[in-house]
Amino acid sequence: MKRRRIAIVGVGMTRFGKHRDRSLMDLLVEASMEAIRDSRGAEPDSLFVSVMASELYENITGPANTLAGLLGFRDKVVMRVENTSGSGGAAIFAAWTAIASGVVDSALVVGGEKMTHKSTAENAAIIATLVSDYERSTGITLPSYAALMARYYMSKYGIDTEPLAHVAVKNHLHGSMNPKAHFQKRITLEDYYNSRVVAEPLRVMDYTPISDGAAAVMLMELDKALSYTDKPVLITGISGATDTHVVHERSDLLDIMAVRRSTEKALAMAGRNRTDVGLVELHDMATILEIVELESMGFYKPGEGWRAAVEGETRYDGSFPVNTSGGLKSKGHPIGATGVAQAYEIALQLRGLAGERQVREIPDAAMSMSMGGFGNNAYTIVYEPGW
Amino acid sequence: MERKPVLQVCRACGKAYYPRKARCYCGSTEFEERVLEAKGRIVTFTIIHVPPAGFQPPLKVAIADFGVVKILGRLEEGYEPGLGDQVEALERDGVVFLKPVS
Repeated sequence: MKRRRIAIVGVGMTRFGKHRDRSLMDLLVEASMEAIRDSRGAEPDSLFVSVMASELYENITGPANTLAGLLGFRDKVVMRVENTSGSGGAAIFAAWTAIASGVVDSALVVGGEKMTHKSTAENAAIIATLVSDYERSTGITLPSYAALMARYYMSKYGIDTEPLAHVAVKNHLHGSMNPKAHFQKRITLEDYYNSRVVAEPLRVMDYTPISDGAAAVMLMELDKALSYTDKPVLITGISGATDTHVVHERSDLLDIMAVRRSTEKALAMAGRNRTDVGLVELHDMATILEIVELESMGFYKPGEGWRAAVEGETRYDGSFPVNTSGGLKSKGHPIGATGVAQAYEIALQLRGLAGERQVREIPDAAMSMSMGGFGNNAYTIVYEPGW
Repeated sequence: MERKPVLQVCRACGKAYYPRKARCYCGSTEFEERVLEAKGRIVTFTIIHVPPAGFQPPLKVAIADFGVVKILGRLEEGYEPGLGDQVEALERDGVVFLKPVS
């Protein structure tokens, strides 16, 4: 059976950051309306909403139905998709498969989270609900798992924190050129080393901030898509995979199977090799994760990923740009929005609309990797220009 | 009250778990229990200066490799850990503490 071809026809995104007087719904509506406008007013058949924890943040259940009501949607297929910090990638997967099955022809995917009205301690407690009861009883959190990973990587390969600092500096450079990023400020190596230690050996400047925001993409079967855009961005490969939920069950802390396998499956579906991929957005909740994920995705050999930012390869103007949006580090990480915002950035870049941070050459293929928890469950997507 | 952790060991493939699972990665649901007697070595650790509510800084946690199993555990405040340190695992109120072997 011939598979339907599916494309992004339009995108929308709020600024990420602190939206003091705005609710999750305000943010989801703004991103949705922008994506609908960008799709020449297309009316989608379905709505997929990725939100991690509206129950805990704003005492809201059923955010997908609330949003459908606010958007004036009737008689559509509507659902919420939740996969913790990888909810956005999972929602795109659900929408893509619904269109591929032929049950619907189009889908609006919207992700968002409203977090900054809660304190850092309250946010830590909400995010800690996603680890196992045993792990939580030790006091571990996702940021401290990143610290365990960083120390292990550094001791195994004989490096210090300087390569991590280079990832932070690079992603802040990218964020400084992204008008929708939470932090639009460059930092120096000195700023990195002057920031407070959170969990040894990692500092404040190793971590993503807590942000509010939303992002949206409109997906459509390609024949229809061409009525709504001149530049459809094809999704030619998409897949998910898991790793162990309890992190210490892994045989190798530095090989995230969810990342590795979802990458391999998505590339196989697209019929692409890693050498075709010239742009990646990934899940740098902490700087060390950008390095380890690039290795798990197979773009660098184990122990070599730390060189990428140090040598400038992964800068927007380098040979292999990574996280041109600023990544989670600088753009911010409103949890349910993040995977959708990755697709937003790649659509902008492939269409040549990324402004100052535009990559030098439009690649044949780009990828995003949206990861839930500490590598529990990843969804990886291959995108290609469709014009 | 401290006691040695009880591992759950798969009867089909021999893989050991702590905490327990409903089903092994090999698909088996047949398990037996085994007390963790072996000493392990610290493979990584962190000292958390901003712990979640209910924990006092500095909070020290580590992963130790016991050969048959790796376990995430807490370290006691007076212990200054180093990579490769030999430790034993002792469970207290459902949490494993990794203690240096003198």
